[in-house]
Amino acid sequence: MGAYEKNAARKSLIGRAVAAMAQSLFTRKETLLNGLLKSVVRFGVGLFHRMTGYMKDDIIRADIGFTAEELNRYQYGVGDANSKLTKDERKN
Amino acid sequence: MHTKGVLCASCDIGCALTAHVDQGRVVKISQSKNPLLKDNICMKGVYAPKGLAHPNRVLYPLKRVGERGSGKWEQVCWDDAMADISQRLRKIADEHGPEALAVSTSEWNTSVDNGAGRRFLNHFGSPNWISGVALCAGNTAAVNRLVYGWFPFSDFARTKCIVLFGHNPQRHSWTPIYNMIRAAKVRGAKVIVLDPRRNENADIADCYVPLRAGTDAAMMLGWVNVIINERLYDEDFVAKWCVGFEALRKRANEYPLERVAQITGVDASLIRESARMYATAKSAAIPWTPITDQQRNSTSAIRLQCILRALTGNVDSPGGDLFMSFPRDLVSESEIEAHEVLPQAQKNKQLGSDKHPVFTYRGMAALKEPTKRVWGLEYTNLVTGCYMANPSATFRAMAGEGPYPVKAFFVLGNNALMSYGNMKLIHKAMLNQDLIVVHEHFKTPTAQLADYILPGDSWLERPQIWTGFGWVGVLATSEKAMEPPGECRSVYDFWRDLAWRMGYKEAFPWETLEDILDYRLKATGKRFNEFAAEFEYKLPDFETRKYLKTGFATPSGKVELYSSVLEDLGFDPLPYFREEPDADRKFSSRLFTGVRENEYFQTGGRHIPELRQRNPEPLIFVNTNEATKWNIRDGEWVEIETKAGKVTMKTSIREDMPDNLVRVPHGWWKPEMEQGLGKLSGAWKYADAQVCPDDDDFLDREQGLPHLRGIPCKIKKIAQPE
Repeated sequence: MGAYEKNAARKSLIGRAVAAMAQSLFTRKETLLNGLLKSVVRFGVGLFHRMTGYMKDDIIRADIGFTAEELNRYQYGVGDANSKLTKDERKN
Repeated sequence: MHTKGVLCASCDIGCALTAHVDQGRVVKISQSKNPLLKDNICMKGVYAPKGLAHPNRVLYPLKRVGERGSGKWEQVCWDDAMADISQRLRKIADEHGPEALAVSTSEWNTSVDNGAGRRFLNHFGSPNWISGVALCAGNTAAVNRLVYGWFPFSDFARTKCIVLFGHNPQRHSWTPIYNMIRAAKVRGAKVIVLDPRRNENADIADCYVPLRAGTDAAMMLGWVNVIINERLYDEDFVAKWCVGFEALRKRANEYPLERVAQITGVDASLIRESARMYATAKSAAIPWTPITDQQRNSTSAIRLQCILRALTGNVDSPGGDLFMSFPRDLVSESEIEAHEVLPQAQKNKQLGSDKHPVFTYRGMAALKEPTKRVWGLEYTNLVTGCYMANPSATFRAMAGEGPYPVKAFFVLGNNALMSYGNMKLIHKAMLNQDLIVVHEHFKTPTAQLADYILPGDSWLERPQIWTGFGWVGVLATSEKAMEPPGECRSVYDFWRDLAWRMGYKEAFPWETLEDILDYRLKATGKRFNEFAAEFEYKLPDFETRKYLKTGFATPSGKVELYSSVLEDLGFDPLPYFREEPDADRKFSSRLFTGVRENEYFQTGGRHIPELRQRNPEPLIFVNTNEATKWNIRDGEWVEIETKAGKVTMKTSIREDMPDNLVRVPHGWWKPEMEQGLGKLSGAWKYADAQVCPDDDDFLDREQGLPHLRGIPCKIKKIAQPE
């Protein structure tokens, strides 16, 4: 194998390794490797965010959520998630 | 409490988010657990659990009783509703032909169509499918294919230069794109912004070009002039891979910078500077923008973006605009749609294909064989925007003014009445129907005119595969986070049920949504649940310069700077700029619309209290000079009028607006206002679709789309509406 072919094969191997690592960042299954990778990326991204305020936003930082009771009351007027109101009781 | 990984459909971008589930319902939406995706979240996603829990959400099928638009409904069961719908549809088809059914939808919103809607239409025999993507990315895909056979996505991660033609992604709007632009800027990429308004992205631009609204095609002809005459183009790529260069050069020379400056209102030196900045960048991307989709010169403008990419060698090239594909190990929506089943005689009846063929079956016909050669499929419905009927022509036929009657109209996840130009025509068209079926979350102005409102599920209540319809190349999964409330069902369930009742059971062997997802993933050897448990995203193959192996999917196999397809269809094969027609002097300003606020997506979201509080009224933007001209002040209510109609809005004075330009927001109605014919929850007062004309002067010739970027208008102060 000449120098060009060796170089191309090495690049291809590096490319495949990078692609595999990138893909492991986007899997839901937790393995040692992707857990480690995600931790490293999380650390780096977090550091960058703290230093630069990148994509900082008050609404997202507020971590807004609701309770199930609140949403059930809002939607159905009662606290039971499975409540089905009669036709007359519905606002439709 | 537990969490699920979901893909948001509060807009059409599909951010990966985390749904927090407690007592069987989603109580919070937060950032993705993936550190690379955590910034892709906006307020619309955050408030989705509240929005989807609104007390007025439609949870059971409703059947109209009384006159259309009277607001009288009775709750029925799905079985009765679908039995009646199928029977009435059959009757309409028997009387008028299957082409008498038109469908308006957006699979980007409904998420789980999986190609079923087109599959049904193709078996049924109707070619008349329309969508909001005709004005937004779908049409772009079709026009791009005329030039180089596919629709590329920008390589934000590697590009050295980003050109934004009016596109204005913000922290809470097109958030992933905003994120990618900011990340590119941090890496040192240059940003060129072309926009009449000094928008938020102009603040980070290396070059800001304040062109007049609707003159993008002229600007790009100026750029082509500079790039060709200063020999800034990639000579090797042009020589080997382009046809029509000399004809293009001749056309570009008809647009010297003095002429372009006069049209665009931009100094010739700035035109030259911006063109050079783009053409001399080591790599450069021109991301998709809705702005050039929605102009009188849209086809030329979109083609010119393609031509610029080709001239500078940025087609399917690292840092340029990349040809992604349908994921290899997935049965694509395009295959499921089964366009080959629809007889040619029915394809020929597609409304609007005679006069405005570009994104119709007729316009795409010449690309069938080249697409099969390069991409392996004859029909590739990129972005779901190829093979569409023309919206204006469809509404005319529905109103009784077309070549044949259309008497049945199905609307799924689309507030059709307010989503296209010439709302008066659409209203007339809907009142002329024998059957209107709407699949929705709420009683939108469109739904208020229906015969049936069928309750739709939401993106939190179903599993989903997302691929960007061949544009983005990824394969993403969304887990079902909660059960749909009441009797809400997916659009897939609707089409499958209808198909079985209409005798197409063999063509629809997948009884449930999960069944079709499993089918689509069969090549992976996994069922959806297993696949989704493993893959949040399956990344695409990032191979570039694929044309070196396959050529381009065009009739010539090359990039067609001179379009053989347009020539054969009877249009100018080269891009051009069509000047504005003379306008009535009383309409001395120009308005642009189609823009939405960060709080809302299209016509949705006005019912969510927290978001409505942030943006309670529809606001026009004008600068001080414009306000003085019309004798209006900040906060005052006004009426904006064009030859097509009027809307009522509140004034906001902003100095980032240029003189003579008015920004009108898209999609306003007020869910709390009175429903029914004549009122339509404020749509007649506030919907911008009323001021958008669709006569020939204001239509793009090749696509037949309305001009939303520079409509002649006038403004009058009025009293505060009740």
